[in-house]
Amino acid sequence: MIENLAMGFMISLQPHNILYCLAGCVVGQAVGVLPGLGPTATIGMLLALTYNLDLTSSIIMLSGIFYGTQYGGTITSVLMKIPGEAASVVTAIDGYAMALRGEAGKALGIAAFGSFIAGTAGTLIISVMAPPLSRIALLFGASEYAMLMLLGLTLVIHLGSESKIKAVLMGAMGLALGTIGMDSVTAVERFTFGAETLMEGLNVAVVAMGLFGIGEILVMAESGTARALRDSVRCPEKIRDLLPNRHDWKISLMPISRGTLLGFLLGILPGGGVIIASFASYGTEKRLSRNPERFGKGAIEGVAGPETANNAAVSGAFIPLLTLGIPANVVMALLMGAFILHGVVPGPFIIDQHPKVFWGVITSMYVGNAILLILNIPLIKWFVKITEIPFAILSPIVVMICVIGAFSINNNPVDVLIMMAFGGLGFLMKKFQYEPAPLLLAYVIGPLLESSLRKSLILSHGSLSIFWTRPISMALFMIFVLIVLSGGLGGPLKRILKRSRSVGQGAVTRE
Amino acid sequence: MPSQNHKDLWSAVCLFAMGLFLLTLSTRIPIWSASGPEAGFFPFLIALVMMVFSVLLAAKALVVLRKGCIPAVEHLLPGGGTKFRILAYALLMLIYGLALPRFGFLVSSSLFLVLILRGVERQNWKTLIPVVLLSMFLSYVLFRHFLGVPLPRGILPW
Repeated sequence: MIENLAMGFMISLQPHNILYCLAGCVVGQAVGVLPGLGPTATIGMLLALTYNLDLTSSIIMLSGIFYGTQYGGTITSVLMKIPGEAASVVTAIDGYAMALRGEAGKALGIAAFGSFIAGTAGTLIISVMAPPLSRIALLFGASEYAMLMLLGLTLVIHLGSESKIKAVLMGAMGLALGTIGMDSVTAVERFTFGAETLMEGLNVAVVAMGLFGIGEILVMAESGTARALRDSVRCPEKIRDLLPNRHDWKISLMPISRGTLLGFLLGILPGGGVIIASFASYGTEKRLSRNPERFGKGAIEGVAGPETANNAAVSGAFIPLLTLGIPANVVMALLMGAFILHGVVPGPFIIDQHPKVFWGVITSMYVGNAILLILNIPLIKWFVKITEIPFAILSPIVVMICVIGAFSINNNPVDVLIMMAFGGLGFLMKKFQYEPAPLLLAYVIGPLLESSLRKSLILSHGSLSIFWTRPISMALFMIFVLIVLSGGLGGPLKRILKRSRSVGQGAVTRE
Repeated sequence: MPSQNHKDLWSAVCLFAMGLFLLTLSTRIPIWSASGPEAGFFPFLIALVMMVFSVLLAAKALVVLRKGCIPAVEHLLPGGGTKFRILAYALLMLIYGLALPRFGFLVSSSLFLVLILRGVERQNWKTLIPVVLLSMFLSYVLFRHFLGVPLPRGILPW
């Protein structure tokens, strides 16, 4: 393990990779500060543009965006009580209360240090867990993969969506879109209508940019240019203002430890994600606290725990992607798209076939978290200034990046038209309250699911019994049935989420 | 004004139609053979799932609608000036995408930014000119030199 980590650091500490990591963290943090655009839209926009970079640099930069956005959301949560990201909603409760007491620096500081600790621990845990998990994954055959992907998609639908029926419909639409192009098994053309552009299917970057980028811009265009921002609390000027003292560390140590573990485990679960991790951590710390009445009034544990958990969840989410080839959430699905764009399919073979990519990406998480820590100490007030940029100026620039990105994939204006069509679809989905995440996730894993399903049925001569006669496949099938019949694992987590959200939103909107 | 349940009903009808269309197209491809599932099998299965769940969504919406008058939530599609903004954005994006290979990155992107910022967002020239110049410079450096993205030259030599 130490040799592998050393190899990984040799790659991630190369000057150009540090630069890409820095760029990803800066862009991610800037995006995280702005409500509206999120990591999904940003990664979708930049996915096509990283095509010309090598795979490791591309994933390092895109991953930097992901954890950068988490911290960007924290800044506005603490200073303005406006969560830049959904995962920062709970931070707004106690973080802003601390800021009103003149402790904004401590809140931001403990969030930064907690995130760094979570990122470091996450890197170590992945280094330990990933190789044995990959060996287990080698036992997986076509039927196990089919069940695992179906289970992953089902969990995303159950845990991440308000309306399950609508989420299933979006998942089905995503799977349908994934069938466009040449069939991988028989080379039959499907749903291309004679268009050569569609022979290789739709490009994942184009779909993501359309749904999450252009769609979001059209929604924001509808709401107009004015965007009233709350007056922010004074931003910490000096570095020592950001350093928690010994007492703060004493109170925060256990929340940070619990947040790391809880966040990492929830991040592994498909559909779990950083949002649930932060809410679950807040609820846990409040329940375990000797003085729960302090929560909501500036309890430092209410910042330390959730911020650590959301960063740990980001690390955890890499486990199923890198070891099993299953994206745990829509951002991981986009990263999977980045791998596929470069001709590499993530999964159990990636450690052996592309060790430099694997260990380079793992160690870059540590580097990225260190960069965020160093970056935030002198530059917080500049990131806050980004919130002053009006939508009227920002949106055309975002559109320009999307159009360049879509065009640059194949130098083909048809990709721009397809992106705009998905932009229109994304806009309509928002208006009709359909979530785009199940669609994109299903679109990315659809071809793999179909391939595994068909291979399984070919091997079993058309008999479905292959899914419950092989032990691993049977276990996954039982879990799938349990979730479908009872609303299973999602129920308790969703109740925590709903309860925490109603407490959080009540506190955030109370003025 | 329509309620969310009306929207669910209409969207369910559209999704059912989509599912039916997919079902029809997938039956034109081989679905099953002696060796097992063929290219049409998976889309056929998905089409069935779409049709079943859109019927469920429609049924759920109808049950609520039949119970009584549901308060409207918002207009289905925006009206007036907002519609203009969205259509203007959509049209200008379309023209920008089509103009990009012919006129090049610098010319088409600059024109796009000017038209959106001035025509749609009503920004004054004092704001517009520096924003356009800075955006073009930064994006050229970012795309061309940092990310290595080949940008179309169009009518300009660089």
